[in-house]
Amino acid sequence: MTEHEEGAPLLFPEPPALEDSGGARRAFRHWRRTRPFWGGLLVTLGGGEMLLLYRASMKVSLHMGLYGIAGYAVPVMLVVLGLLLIFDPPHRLFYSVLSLLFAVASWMTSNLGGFLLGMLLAMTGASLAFGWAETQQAEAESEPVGRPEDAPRGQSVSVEGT
Amino acid sequence: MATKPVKAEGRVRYRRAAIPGLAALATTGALVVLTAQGALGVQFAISGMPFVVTADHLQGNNFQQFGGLDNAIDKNNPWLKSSNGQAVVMTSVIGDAKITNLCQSVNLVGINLVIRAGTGSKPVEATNLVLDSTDLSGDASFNNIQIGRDAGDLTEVPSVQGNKYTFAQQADSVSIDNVRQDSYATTASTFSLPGLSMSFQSKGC
Repeated sequence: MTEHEEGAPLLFPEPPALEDSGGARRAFRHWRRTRPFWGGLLVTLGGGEMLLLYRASMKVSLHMGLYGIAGYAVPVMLVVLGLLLIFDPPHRLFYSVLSLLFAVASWMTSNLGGFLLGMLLAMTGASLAFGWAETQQAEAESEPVGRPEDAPRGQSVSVEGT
Repeated sequence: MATKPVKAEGRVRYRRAAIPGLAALATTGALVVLTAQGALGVQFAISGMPFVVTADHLQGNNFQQFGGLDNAIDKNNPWLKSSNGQAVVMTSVIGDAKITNLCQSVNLVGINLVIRAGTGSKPVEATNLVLDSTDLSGDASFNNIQIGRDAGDLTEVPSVQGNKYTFAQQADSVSIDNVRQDSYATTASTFSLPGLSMSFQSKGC
């Protein structure tokens, strides 16, 4: 049995116990497919690229007050949102819309959005995450498992209807 | 049973993803146009990699300059390895600056990212511009200059100070022709970039 143990943290539902590397790959693929993985990854990479370009010496930046802080805060938020998209998929709509807004803001705050590159990465990722949805069949096939407290409320794990 | 998926798998519905994608693209286009018209100020702070800024003319009010030490994030910074991750810089602060024919280039491992702005009739405008540079050249003239003022007691841009008991100079206004400077860091509260163009070129500024 590879289901979640009771009380296992929601953020790391995987991986199940594995015997060989092929199984590990399959488990990772399954884990990847149960969340907007590529969207979250692109958002994180976009934020990371901006941070890489934005490592001005803190001493000088701090003098710039709120503006200087925004230059760091926006890419950091993108990194955090990208990780949240991967590890907290139920709230992906909220995270993806927020990622989109922060990506737009980065044009003004963080070196023209990491010279456009990080901004485009984050926007692509946010769009992919926004468009990600659980497929109907997998939902129907899946067992009414999950955490025990979910069971009385029915087996649907999906947030939205489509 | 043990191998059955415990959670629903999903995939990207591209038509659904296109909605925010197109909205974001439209917004980006609008931002680029507004910036290129100089209507929207953007903010700059780059460092770690040395970059070059050149301009035909720089006119600034509230100028101050002092020496200092810039620290890279760690000693292994490939650009500053010989000096333990530190660079001796002079910090130039300009309260508000107008720059014509600005060209800024960063060498990104073999290829140069070149940003040009202020090439037309409208100059680039920057407020609270702070430049940490290792080399600054040009034909300069200053108004009401005070040379040898304590770097911890500067009054032209009071929010930016150097280390006290060290040398500094400040002036009410500055005018520099044929500016060329090698920098490690630049920050600005706002930067308006009329006539913005970004491109990758084999040659820098």
